[in-house]
Amino acid sequence: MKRLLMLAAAAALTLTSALATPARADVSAADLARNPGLAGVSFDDLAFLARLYNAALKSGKTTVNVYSANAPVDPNNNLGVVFRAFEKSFPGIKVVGTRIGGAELSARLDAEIASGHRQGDIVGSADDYIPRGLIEPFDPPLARNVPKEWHYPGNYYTAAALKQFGLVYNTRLVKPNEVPRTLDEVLSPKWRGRVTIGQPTGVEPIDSVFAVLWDQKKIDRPTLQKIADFIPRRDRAPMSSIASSWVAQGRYAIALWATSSVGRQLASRGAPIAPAPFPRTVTNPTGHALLKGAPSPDAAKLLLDWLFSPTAQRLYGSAVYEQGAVPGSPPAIGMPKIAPDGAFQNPVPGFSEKRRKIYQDVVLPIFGSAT
Amino acid sequence: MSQPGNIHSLRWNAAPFDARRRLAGVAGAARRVAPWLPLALLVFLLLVWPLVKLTIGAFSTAAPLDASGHWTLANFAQMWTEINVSHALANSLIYAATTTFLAVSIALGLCFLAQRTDAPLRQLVTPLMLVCAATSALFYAIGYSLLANRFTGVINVLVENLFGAPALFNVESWPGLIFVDSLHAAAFLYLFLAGPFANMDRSLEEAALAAGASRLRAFFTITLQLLRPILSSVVLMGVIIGLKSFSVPLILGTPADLSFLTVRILRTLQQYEPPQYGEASALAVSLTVFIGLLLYAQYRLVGRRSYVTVSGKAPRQTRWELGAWRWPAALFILAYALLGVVLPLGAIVFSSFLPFPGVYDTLSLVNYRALFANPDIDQILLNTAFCAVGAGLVGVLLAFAIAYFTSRARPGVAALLRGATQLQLAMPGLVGSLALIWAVTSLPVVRHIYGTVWLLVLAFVVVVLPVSVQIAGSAVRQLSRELEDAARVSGASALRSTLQITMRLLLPSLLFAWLLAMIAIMGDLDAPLLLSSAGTRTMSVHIYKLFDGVDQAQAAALLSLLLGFILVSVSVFGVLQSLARGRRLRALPVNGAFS
Repeated sequence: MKRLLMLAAAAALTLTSALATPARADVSAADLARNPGLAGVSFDDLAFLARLYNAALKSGKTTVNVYSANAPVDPNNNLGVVFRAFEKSFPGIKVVGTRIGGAELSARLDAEIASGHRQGDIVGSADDYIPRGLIEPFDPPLARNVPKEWHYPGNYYTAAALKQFGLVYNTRLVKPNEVPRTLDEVLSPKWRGRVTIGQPTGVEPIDSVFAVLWDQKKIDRPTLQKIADFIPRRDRAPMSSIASSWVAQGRYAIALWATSSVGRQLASRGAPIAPAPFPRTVTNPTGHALLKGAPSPDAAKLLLDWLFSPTAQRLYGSAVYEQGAVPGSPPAIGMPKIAPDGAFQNPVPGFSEKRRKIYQDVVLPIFGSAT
Repeated sequence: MSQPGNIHSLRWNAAPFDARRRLAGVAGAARRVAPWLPLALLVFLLLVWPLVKLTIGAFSTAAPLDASGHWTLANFAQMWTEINVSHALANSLIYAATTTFLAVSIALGLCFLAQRTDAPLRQLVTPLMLVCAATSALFYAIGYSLLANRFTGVINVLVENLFGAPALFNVESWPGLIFVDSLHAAAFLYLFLAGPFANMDRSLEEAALAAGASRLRAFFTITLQLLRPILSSVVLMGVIIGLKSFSVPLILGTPADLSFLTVRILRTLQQYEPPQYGEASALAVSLTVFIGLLLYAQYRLVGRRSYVTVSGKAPRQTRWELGAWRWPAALFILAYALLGVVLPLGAIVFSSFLPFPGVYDTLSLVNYRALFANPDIDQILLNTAFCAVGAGLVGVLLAFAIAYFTSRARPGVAALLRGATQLQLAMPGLVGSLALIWAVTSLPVVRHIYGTVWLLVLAFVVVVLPVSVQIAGSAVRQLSRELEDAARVSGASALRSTLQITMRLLLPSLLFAWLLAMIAIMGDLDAPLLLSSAGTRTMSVHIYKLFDGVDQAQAAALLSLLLGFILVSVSVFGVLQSLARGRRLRALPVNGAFS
């Protein structure tokens, strides 16, 4: 009985203190307008952001889990800089990035659904998950000026930045005046045994590169064969990002169609590597998508919309080394300019199937399978 | 006396008597079995159920979580074609055989020198082996990659700068892979051998010597024969380690264009969207069956003999005097120290001060500063410590319970239970985690632990169980039952004799197994890679993600910290072991390993 009375008293105290705490006043668009992280955002857009922010705070669901192969491992670098700026603009909201992709991500999403314990809110590279019904459509108002071809039909996601797959070289092994400017120059005897490339596997960035170039008739079988003969399997990296690391380590002088922004990030750590202009660079407009059943949907939408704000678009260029997709965003620092008439891997339904077919019919017979 | 009527009446009365006796028998059996039922159920859920899910996956066109799949045998056909075209099967078998031979030879040699001879530096061997075993194969592969890759390896750059010679060593080659994995596997195998080697009674050897046998003959005919159970376990373990080896073939084998079974499984999962679970499961199930057959062969070979070498009497432990061979023996130990520990781990520590591996211009603490500027680092360290201590202890206690039960159970039941504990060994890392996910999420209540630290604890218990059961089994097998019987004859209850005699005698072995479990968990990547979520990331996953990204030097910094943690753990164990020794618990299986 005594214990029961004590419990009742404790409950009454908790209730009283909860009632005594003044309710948090809603944040208005005017409040947000004073925030430097939201400079350049229109009043209407601020009002939309304020609604999402207030809803997130009221629900208490304030942690956004981002699953992406491009998520930063060190939260103070790369996309982490963007996330930290978002957290500063919206105090109380936290973004947790998990670097995960491919089979790992697929297995995790399957398990979260099966266990009923969903944790992921946002996913990068959503193309494979849209046909499986895992993505919730969301059209960020701030993305309205992004070119139409960079919106995935049905508003499943919109590209926020442009990732380049071009040429990177080791600055110690290659003098600036020696850097090849065309594919023919790369494939000259001078560079034999000194060039690497990602091994095509069917789902790697290099497969997307070949699919885009093949689809746009910018590469043919003889050229692919020439590349495969020039860069035999022993010289190929298991992943495009590893190709950049190999060049940074001096294993190879040049990497073809490596992830250029990874090369630039390595250079920012002191590695002797630099991206170079290359006419056959493939640009991939990349974006993040909202997962169905996301545990923090309002906070997730808030982030997805804010990524198109001027601050976020600027940070994409200076910290992620990818140019923002919103027209007028500053170019990525230290990266080659993106040619408007270059090859683009636009977000379109069925790209994964097309890539798989090109890999099976064209690339695999020439390059062989991975070890 | 025996009239027909009486006979009938006896038969009539015997029926209920037989039934009562049968009932009493059943009740007695139930009483005997009841205490062990939770143990058997736990083993089933942790070890057998994931395999069941994996087997379902192998015969299905979709993952077990996906109800749309149907039964098929095509996965096995595809898997068979795949592993033969890529030479993965042949490569893995050759790899397992060669690494086992080399690793067992190194482990036996070092064990003999450290435990049975007066070789100089012998005191260094066990701590060296502990550090080497504690370093996960992934980090070992990274260490050797940083040390001896033909492009930027520290040793090759040094040689080039000093002598202008081209790269001397290329660890990314067949000999390189075998060398690195054998060095690493030797440390594990040594830890299995050290205790039995140290505590074996030398009186049998001396009897052989007195009867005119040479030392060499005594070693082969007496010493090795007495060590047959542990040696067969060690060889089996070596083969399994070789077959399951993943990190070294992945990191050092891929640049060498060499294909192995475990790497093929990863590629099978990576190359398709959604991943080809069926083919990967088929390969994993085939490996499980193969390893199951090996375990059965081992059971047939040694399972029915008695190898009790530790009894109530203290063993004689005089050392062999090596004479002129003392210094070559010391050189052998020194070479292992250099190649197995100092050079690869030194390369990691050195690289942690570089801006980027291969860039030797400046040395700084920038990677350590970046590491501690990470707001998540506290959580990562806490998760790792919690899992290492908690899951390590649970796993080891479970292992000793299983070992104790199997030593008292019928041979068939014991072999079944022991076999079940070894199943995890057969599951290649990534698939093992997938199987656990499938198993956990298929159970109504348990599935809610997905995404929490408890799932990691469960996974780590599964990871450490096979090795812990091997250690516990060796320790329990060498304890004579007469010690407990003596206590019971003296009036002690069964529980008291178990706790006060058996458990006390097993305590150093238990502590040793716990230490190994902790360091194995700290370095394990396979389990947490798929199972850890945003808030439950461990150090090994963070290191791998850093290395896989653009922060290799920061990965080296965190790895250096992890090595520091392991050294602290080993030191704490050393203190505990000294305390145990102080309490006169000398006559124990692994006691000698640290003498």
